[in-house]
Amino acid sequence: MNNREKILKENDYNLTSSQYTAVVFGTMVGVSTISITKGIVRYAHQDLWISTAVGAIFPIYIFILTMVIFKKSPGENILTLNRKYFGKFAGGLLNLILLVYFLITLLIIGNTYIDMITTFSAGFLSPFKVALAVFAVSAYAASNGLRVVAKVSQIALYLTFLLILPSIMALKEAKIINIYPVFESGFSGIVNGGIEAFKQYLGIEIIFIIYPYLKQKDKMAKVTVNAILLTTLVHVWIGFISVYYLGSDVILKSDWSFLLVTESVTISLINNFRYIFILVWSLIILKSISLYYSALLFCLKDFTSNKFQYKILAFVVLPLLVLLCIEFENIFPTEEILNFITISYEIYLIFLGTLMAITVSIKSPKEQRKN
Amino acid sequence: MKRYLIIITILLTYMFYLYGNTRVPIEEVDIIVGFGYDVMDKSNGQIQYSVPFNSYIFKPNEEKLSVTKTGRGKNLTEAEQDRDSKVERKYISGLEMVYVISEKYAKMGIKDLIDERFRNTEANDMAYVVVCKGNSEDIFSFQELGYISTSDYIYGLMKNIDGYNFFSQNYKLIDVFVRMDSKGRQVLLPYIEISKNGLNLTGLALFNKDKMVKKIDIKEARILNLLREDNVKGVLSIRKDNKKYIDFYAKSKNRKVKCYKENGKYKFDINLTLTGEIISNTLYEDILSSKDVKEKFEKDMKQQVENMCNEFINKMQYQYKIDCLELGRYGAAEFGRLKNVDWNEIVSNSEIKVNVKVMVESEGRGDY
Repeated sequence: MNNREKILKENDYNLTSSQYTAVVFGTMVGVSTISITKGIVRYAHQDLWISTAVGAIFPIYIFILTMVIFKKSPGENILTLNRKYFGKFAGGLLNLILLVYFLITLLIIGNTYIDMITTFSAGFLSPFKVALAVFAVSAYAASNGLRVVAKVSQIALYLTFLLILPSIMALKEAKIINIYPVFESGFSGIVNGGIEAFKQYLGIEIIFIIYPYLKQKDKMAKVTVNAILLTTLVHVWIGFISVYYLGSDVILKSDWSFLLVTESVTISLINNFRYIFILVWSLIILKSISLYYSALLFCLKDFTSNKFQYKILAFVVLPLLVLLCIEFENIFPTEEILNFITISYEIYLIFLGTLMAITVSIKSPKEQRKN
Repeated sequence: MKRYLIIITILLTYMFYLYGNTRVPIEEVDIIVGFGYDVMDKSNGQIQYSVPFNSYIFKPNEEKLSVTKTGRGKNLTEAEQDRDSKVERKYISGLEMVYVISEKYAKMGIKDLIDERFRNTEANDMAYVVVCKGNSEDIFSFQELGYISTSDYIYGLMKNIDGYNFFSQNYKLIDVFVRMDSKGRQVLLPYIEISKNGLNLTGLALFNKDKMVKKIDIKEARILNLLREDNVKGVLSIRKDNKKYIDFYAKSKNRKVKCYKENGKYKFDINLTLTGEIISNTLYEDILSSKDVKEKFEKDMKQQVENMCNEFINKMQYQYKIDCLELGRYGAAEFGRLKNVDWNEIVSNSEIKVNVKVMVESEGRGDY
């Protein structure tokens, strides 16, 4: 109980329901959203937009687990619960895996961002400069508390829709015929594509950590479901419009297929929409990085004593992150390793969540009686 | 104190990020407006690539000029390197308006250049792609009166291509990306040449995958466009003799293609609806007042268009043997894309039916 009061005191960490929605949405929509078709198209071909919807099973499952845990212990997040139920050693180990994962994800996002920005708009900047700028800004945002990051997420939410909506104009340019025949890739193709699409919904696990910080506890289910629906909508739309405009054969060749779709948007006076898109999308990526940075700080805080403030922690890990990000290609030389990490992490999350949900439902009522 | 610290930090950051970059004022930069692609035979039997570009040069006295620079080499990249050695100023690409491919290059295949453009993040996907007779270098050095560069002129030509002759606007680089390797689709590009009247559009270049197969003239292109494109405009006429004729400015609407199988054979139905106005008429009397005459015209026109279409389809099936109407696209949508079938062959051996519906919507100010 003591813990819970402390959290409520920290005003910087309480989120309104719209901020919470933006955060949950922001965890899932980020750097890989515009290349969402890349992996899925190999399995699901022109049905990939169905697969993107199938992928939503992952966040929904995580959401259900969170609700189970949340009902039993609304004030403590998974990091505290791990230590509470599994002891100092086992609980600490579980938390450590989460910490390592958040670190790796930060590196992956940072590296993808560097890749994108040097390819499309600022080829003259060295990776070091981009990494330094990106992580320093995110560290600053994350160190100021979850509320600041949530506000950034709110802006990013609007920007996301601002960038995605113009692609409606592509509807005029092509024909619906590109998505036919529907269901050609069959059940297995669509499901395999859906499993591939789980990747796009990664980030949802952050709600394991941030759920105690929602101010209106009774709105938890509604707010989270809204965010998941919104994310699914964005993913399905991007999948659909890419197939609609380009056809599955071209998507197979393109790494950033949604960028090709935005080419169809011609705004007078603006010669090339691509640069503007990348520039504004950068802000959305910065939000993703800040969110993961916050999650990383939560994990770090769990391991360090209370003496260390978030502010200090944020800038302590900054040089490490920048260094690792530059050495990214040496640490993870092939895509196979990254894929393996992602898949094993998905499994770990499902395992951890299920384990905690079961433990909480068995153990929690007894303890309450004790108190 | 804090304020100074912030200002100093910002300045240092700015310097840190700009350190090592060389920047040039815009007056000293050339802007590339058109890329050309040629191949030439060399005396020893080998071929040589030649890649000219057309660029703007800005003079201090607000004068604008355009120049053409060419490089030659054994392949595209080598030619580009050679070209770079002749360029004395910094240049930027990304604002190009046209890609001009010579007929010979197109016949050898445009896969290499499309791949290069697809990779290039600075390529302008909305630039028009055209095929030209002769060399693109000659096209670029041909100066059209009143234009800074030939690229501007070609760009204007393409921009207004859809007013008559049922041309669409699908001749951009992105359209080539989308069509070249897709199932049941074929690239189709405008064909330009220098004649004694200047530089103009003389037809369409038909492609099979990445290789140009044939050039067809405007007259044939008109029918092809009518059968292939959606929502296009053009003039159709019935001519008895030099003085007796009727012109119908038609808009094609609701073009529908059906693909089905009968006894293991593919069949295609193309349904066209043409609505529009009569722009000149010396053939039919009382077309304005009499309903019968109007219906007779509609029937005659339908007959004529269907005959024209069938004639073209025959030619396409027996002579060209490529699916330039993109009928395979509808077949793929109906019977699946994952099977590896050659739609060119299927379309050439199947039955294609054309149904035309003509509707006169208006007759202008009156019947003189």
